[in-house]
Amino acid sequence: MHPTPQTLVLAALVVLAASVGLLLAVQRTRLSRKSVFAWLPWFGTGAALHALHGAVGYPDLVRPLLGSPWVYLLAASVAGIAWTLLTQLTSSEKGRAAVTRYFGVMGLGTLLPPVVLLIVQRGITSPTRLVLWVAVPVVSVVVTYCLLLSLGLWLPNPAYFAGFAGGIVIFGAAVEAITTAVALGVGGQPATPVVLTLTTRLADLGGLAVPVALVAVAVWLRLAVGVAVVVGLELLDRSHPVLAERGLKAATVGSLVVAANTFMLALAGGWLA
Amino acid sequence: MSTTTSPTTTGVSFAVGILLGSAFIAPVLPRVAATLPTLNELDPVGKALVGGAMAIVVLVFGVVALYLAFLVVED
Repeated sequence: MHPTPQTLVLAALVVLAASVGLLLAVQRTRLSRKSVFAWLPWFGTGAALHALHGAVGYPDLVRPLLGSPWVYLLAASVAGIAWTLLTQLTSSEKGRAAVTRYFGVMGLGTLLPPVVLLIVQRGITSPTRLVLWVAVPVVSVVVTYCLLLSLGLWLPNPAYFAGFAGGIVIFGAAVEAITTAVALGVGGQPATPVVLTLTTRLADLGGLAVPVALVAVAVWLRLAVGVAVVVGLELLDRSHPVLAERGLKAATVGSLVVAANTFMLALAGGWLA
Repeated sequence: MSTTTSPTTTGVSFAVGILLGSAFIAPVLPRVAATLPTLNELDPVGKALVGGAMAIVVLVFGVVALYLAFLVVED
């Protein structure tokens, strides 16, 4: 049996990702919190390309690369190459100190074309989607601010420990919660299978009516998870600071990637009218 | 905040990023272009939606431009 061209493309991607991983390991790349932030736009690019893949449909040969989870591997590989080039091409110590920022700005530039294409291609077909492109992030920022303010007042230690990274974790939770609520409430469809499964079970256990209960439970559940992660990591920091720091970085990336994926898929896919 | 960031390199990094992002979307551009209606074919609501989409695109680029300007000014 001969491998299909798509299989070969995926195999090439795996080889590329492994090579880039090796390259990063050889350079002894250390991820500070700041450099984790710089990687975020690159993963956002993965989410945007994934949404475009569903909305538009790529040519057959490259289609497998844009599905989940391969698209994130692709984005991470390209980001790894960019990081390596920036690091190796910068000779001065002063320049090396700024590599993280150049890398983040480059990631931001990479994110823009797919996002703009999504807005133009999907936005002009539905006024709801167009409004939500702005409304969801803005409302999420407000919700995040309120939650961080409350956290700082009632539990100052987790807020101090997590800092800006905690804000990103909670922002990701807010984006996903609000997108889920809108998708369930307006579109009547789930935003993510995971959230739907969890919320359906919880709603059943509580004997709540669907779908209003689903919306309420999904929103509060996701927000509570975001805050619980930050508080839990601060508790872990007291006994295992290194592990807590790594956990916070992973939570930062994970929260934003899941949120970006849900948000862009909901707005680009068929979940919202 | 360090004073090591060069505005030129920041701008070049951003431009390279835009090129990379454009390369990612290049395979679907012909399909998207084929599905988009021309402005003349749109009713007033459609035209308003196009205006809205363009406004959001300008907003997104505006936020990024402000961020980049902030980096340069801060340094």
